[in-house]
Amino acid sequence: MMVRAKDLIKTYRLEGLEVPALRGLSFSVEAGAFIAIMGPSGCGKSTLLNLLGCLDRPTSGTLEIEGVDTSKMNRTDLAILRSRQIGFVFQTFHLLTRATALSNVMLPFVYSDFPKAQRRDRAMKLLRYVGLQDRMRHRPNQMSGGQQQRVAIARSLANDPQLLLADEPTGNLDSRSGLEIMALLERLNREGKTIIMVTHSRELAEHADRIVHLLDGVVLRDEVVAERRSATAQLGEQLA
Amino acid sequence: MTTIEYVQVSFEAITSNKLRSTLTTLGVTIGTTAIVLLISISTGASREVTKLVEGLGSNLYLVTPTRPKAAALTGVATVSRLQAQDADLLQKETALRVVVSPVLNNPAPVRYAREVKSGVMVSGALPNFQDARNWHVVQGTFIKKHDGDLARRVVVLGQTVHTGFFKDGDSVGKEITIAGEKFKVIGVMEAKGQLFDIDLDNQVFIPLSTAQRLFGTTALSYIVVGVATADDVPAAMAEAKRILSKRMTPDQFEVRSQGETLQTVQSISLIFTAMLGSVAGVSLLVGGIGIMNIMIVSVTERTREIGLRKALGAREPDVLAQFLSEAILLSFMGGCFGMIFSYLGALGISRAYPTFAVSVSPFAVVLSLGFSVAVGTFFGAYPAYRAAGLDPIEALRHE
Repeated sequence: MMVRAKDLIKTYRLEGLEVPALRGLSFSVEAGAFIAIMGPSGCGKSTLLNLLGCLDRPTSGTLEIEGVDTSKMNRTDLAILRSRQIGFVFQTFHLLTRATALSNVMLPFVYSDFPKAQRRDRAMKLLRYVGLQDRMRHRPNQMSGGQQQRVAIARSLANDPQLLLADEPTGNLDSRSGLEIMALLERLNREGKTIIMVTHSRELAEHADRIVHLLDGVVLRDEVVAERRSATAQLGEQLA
Repeated sequence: MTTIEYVQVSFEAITSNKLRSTLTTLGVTIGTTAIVLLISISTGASREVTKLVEGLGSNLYLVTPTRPKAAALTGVATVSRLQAQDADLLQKETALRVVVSPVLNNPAPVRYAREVKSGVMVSGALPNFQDARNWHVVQGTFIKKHDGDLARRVVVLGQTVHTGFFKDGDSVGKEITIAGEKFKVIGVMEAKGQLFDIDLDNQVFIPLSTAQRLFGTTALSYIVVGVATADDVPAAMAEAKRILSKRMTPDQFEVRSQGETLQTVQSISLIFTAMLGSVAGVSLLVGGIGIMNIMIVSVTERTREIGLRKALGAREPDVLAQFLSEAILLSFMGGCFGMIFSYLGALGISRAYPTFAVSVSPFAVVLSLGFSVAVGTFFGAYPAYRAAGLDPIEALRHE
């Protein structure tokens, strides 16, 4: 099991008030799955993603990632876990603007023990993998949104994590670029990565094999997608 | 993350905003420049003072007429109360082994062939001047007793006058003109060097009696008293005050040793040190605050970057070290600019005052670079701490 969340509760304190974001949420994700998380604003999607990403700790409950309970870990151990086991893909890419694509992809190595001599080769390999072999020396402002997101995906793969967390990965892209990103995620999933994606779009969610619907901090419905969409196929149709 | 990586990342961050970084380093630049110049000048000054004491001799003291304050300001010479009989009295009544030598100074034009030097110090002296002042001839002879008795027109040249007039170095036996009268050169004094702006070697010595006639006065400029050892100087000075008080009121003369002159010079250099020191201190403080300010701005501007780095696995010490090293590097660069400026400053001072050799000492360089690092560390600590403590979720969401 890649992720096992049990009775997750997360409350924030806002101006003295306790605001519950998650109210005893439980769900699990098998290794190699592609999960979409959906729900209206304020349902706890972001909070859940932050907990899954080990950026935050639950108020109570347990959260196991690859069999390790993270709910009691200290911040340093969480940071180490993030660098080794989790890859982040953000809606707004979060690339360093003054660094080249190559440097951006190499950034995570700085915080892991990845052998120095192999960093450049690994980063170049990843950029080729996402189809940016011609853009390695480009800076983010010299690239399209789709290209930037592909750099970000290459970066998320730097330390070869098994779990990728994508927060509205196509939210800032046009439909064509979005589809290309989805195709890339599908490919990564086929090659064994576990992907958890937060999205507002039913259409995009149907690229996953399961949709977890959240409402008011609990799982409302866990839906197996009957007919998965394939971005790869859709792109083929568009070309034809 | 290794140290080199931190320095690289910091360097990139600093150079990505060159103007801002340069302006930020300004305070530290001024501060470190002040430290280096401070040390360089004060060591230069103390070297000068040491030279002065060695040159004048620690085993002597001077009796000078008191100069009224008004005269000191206007430069109008006042009639000295100090007379040859004061010197006689000192010599006669002393219980110690001393050499009392009265001197009459007067600047006058000196001419040789067609060359005229104005403002040469013409000193009327007795034969015992050499021993009292510990300043001897290197060529020819000094003034002899009979030169004084007969008020002869003979002259002993200081090195500057000697080399100025006689390029071939052959002056003894030649004739020069002092204040319109011809004098025969009988000797050349050893070089005494310069004292700040005063060239001690731009001086000539003639018999005291000749000087009294030439300048039409019997008043002395000073009496130099050579004492057997430096330890006897305080006792000898006390004695001199007692003896001279018989003829003059205490406010009409001063008895000063080189030690006191030294103290005066040292107190001046102390004031100077304090001044530059406070400039250094204030600029380093202001510079440090400037660095802190810019680092806080930088942390705010790069909040998202910090959030990202944390998401990618940066631990708090990583972020702390990154921003701390940026502040230290920024401050250190200020220090390096300061080294360049202080070197130029030292060069400028040396050019303007050739006698005042100001050299940048390695100690000063190490010290002020150390200070710049310390300032960067101290004032960079808080912004770095703030960056390290940022919540990654909040930071990533920061606009």
